[in-house]
Amino acid sequence: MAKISVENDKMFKVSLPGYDVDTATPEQCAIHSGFDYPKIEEKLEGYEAVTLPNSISAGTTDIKVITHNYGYIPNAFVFMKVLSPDAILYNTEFAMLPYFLADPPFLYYTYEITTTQLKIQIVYDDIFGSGPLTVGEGSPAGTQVGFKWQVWVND
Amino acid sequence: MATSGVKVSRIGYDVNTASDKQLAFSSEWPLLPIEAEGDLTINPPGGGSGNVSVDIYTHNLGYNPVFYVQRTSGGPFFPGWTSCDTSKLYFSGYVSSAINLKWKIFRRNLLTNYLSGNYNTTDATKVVDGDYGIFISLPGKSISSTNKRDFAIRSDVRQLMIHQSGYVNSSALVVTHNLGYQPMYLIFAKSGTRYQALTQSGSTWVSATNTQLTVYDYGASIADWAYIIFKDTLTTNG
Repeated sequence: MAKISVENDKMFKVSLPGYDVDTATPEQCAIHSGFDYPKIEEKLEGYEAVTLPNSISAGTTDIKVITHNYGYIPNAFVFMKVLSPDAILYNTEFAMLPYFLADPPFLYYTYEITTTQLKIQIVYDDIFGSGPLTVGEGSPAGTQVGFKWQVWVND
Repeated sequence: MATSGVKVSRIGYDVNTASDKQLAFSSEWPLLPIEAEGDLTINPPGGGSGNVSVDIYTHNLGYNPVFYVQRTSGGPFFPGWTSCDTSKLYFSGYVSSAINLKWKIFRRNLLTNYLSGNYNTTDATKVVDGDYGIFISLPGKSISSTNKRDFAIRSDVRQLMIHQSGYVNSSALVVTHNLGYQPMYLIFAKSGTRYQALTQSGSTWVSATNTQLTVYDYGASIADWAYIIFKDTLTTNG
């Protein structure tokens, strides 16, 4: 798919303050029925503080799974907040995923979306051969992270 | 505040008492109209990993539009690998295994300084009364459709409402929004003539507080920023 807007649609238009609705461009409208907009069902957005496992093995670990059952792959926004500040790791007050905890990027939070689920994940590439991450300074294992997600109706 | 216009609350909220973020939309502030969208698989070069550059879509809008590219599955993905200029949406990154992406271009110039202001910041109590506001179906789609994707706007779902947007020339992005809660956002960084989605990490530290959106680039390579702050909150379902 590519262009989906129908600029000359005239079924419903509401212009922004200061613009004549008869001549307003799509950018000058609050609503234009020729355009689709991001839409989010309230049941498919949320915030949750999640405690990570005490041991994180190399590879991808699912941290939080949200079931949407749309039957297609929708868009999503996912943000994260570090709730257990660490002196070595980067801390953040709501970053958007993917969020990289280290450089080179061997440790990061990300997400995947299927036709039924949104999976928030941590990815650990054991490039130093040090084995699973365990609880302690410099490791996210056992810490708390807050996640905000929005699964869109749109695909 | 304009003396005339339209505002519609989301299902369960009285339009007379609903806070700004409890509305489905208001003619006081813009939404994000989708100009174009698609799905794309980026494959590594033949024989293994390597740099891949793809022109994803030619939009020809004549301005740098807001865009959103997300990885749905596959290999590692940095948002900063995607960028837009006044004519195209691009991918350029080091691909080690196939990456599945979804992309959207919105009908909004990234370089738009805008502030909606706060009109009602006090949340109303939700009452489920089955009273619906408004449905607007997309061209060629029935208003009776049971598929929510067939609608431009529905007041029984949340729309992404823009509170503030702008662009700055600075080594750091510091924006005061005064929403009183931590809002959702999009951030872009200029590179040449293009604006890239911001790859977020410790070296591009982002903070969204009740009053400010802040980004520091510890790599000191970013001099121009663009941002959108939504009325949606990061910490509650409000």
